[in-house]
Amino acid sequence: MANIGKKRYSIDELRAFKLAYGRSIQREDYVINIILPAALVGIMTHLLLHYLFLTIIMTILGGVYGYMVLFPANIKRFYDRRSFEQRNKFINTMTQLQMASNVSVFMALNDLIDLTEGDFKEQLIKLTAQLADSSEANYHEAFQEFSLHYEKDVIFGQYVDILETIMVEGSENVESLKKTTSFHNDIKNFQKRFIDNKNRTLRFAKTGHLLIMAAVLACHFKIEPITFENYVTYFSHHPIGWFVYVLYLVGTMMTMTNFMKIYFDDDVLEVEL
Amino acid sequence: MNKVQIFIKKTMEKDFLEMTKFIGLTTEEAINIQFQRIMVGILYFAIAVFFLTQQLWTAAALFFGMTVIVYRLRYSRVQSAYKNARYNQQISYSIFARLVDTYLDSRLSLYAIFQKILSRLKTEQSRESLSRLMGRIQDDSEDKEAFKEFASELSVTDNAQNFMMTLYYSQMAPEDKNVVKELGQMAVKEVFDSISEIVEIKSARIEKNGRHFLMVSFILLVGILMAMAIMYFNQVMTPITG
Repeated sequence: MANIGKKRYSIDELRAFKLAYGRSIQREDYVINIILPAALVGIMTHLLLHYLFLTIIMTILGGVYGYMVLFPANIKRFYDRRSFEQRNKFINTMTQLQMASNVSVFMALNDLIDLTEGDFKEQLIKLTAQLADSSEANYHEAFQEFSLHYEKDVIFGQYVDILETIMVEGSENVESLKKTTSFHNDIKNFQKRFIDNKNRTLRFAKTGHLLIMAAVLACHFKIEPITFENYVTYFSHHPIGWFVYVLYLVGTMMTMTNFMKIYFDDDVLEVEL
Repeated sequence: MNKVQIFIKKTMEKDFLEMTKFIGLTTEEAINIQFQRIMVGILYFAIAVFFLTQQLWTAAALFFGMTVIVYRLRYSRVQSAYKNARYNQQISYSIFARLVDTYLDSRLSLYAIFQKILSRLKTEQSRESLSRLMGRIQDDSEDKEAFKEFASELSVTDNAQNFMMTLYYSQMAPEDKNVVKELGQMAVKEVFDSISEIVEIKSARIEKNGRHFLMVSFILLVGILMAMAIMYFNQVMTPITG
């Protein structure tokens, strides 16, 4: 899920990801992912060093960072979360439907087409079409293709497997379905907790950083003996300022990269120690 | 294996071979790694000796230190890869337990259940272990040792042993619903524990990074304070003219 430093997606692929769940890439995506980081880096550089030329360069670099790293990661995450939600909904509703003994798997699959949306819905339509056309011998291939599309979700794969067994053998295996459903729901809860934790940390970091920025900004006003001229002479256009700026830049880059790597990773079943 | 390889094998740390095997390297690859370690170590050592003959003591000491560090570094890299693999193995096991649990109510044989789960396991080692277990229960379905070995291959906890043993006995008494229920509870607990741990590890990691992010920002304040100190110093030192 975290694609920082891994695979790069082209803009067309990203557009496809976003379109998969009914939203094209909109203006706000560009603002949040590209213009915001560019502006932040630009403002910070200008406040610290007051070299207009450097500010322009750093703004552009910030924008490039946003475009290369944040933009694809954000959109991929949007897709992954939506797709997971759809699968969870599918599993829960399907299990409910299977409790009623007179509903066959095929009927339930057909009913579910209306309840799901986006990319998942298309996959479901494809599956039901294949099931309607083919003989029992080809069921396995159709189900296999369906679950392979969401290969990373092991539990979903297992669920589809059980569904296939029920459909082929006609055995009443609701207990298995129920257990798998509760497993998937557990994963969902854990993921939610994890995402909450991450957002809390992000808020904390944002607030802290804002305070520091305010402190730097305060130095621009006249608080005796600090004046704007003094700030520029003794910090901005002074080796101390340059040194501190480089240190700050390197430090931010390093922590940011690690931070984003975890922030964009929602997987609770794998960890790199 | 020729004599050189046997010699290289002897220079390894005790658990080196085992760890490299666990992360999916063959013995030959492990010997290659060890050979590289030795060669790089010798290279640094030679440089150190060269500096020693030139009477550059500091540089010599530095390279002697580097020799040890470089030699150990490769080992600790293997060690951390091993730890990582071991941990993911444990997770793989808990997912396995939970997946087994979902099938227990169906009247499938254990062999059929394992076959369904085989492709869902995440790590290569766990897949290998499971297919080995399947092979052994196909030969003799009452092979108790096979279950035990599988448990110790996949996990270090007693829970795993317990689970596999219960699974083995559940096969003996297929009508006993209590065993199945018990197995289910064990599996649920197992998965809960591992996933909570992963969430905790990852959350702790991101919090740490968030803190570091703030600390880095404090550099700015320190820098500004330093600048102010210099400013003050300059202004006091400058004689007032006029």
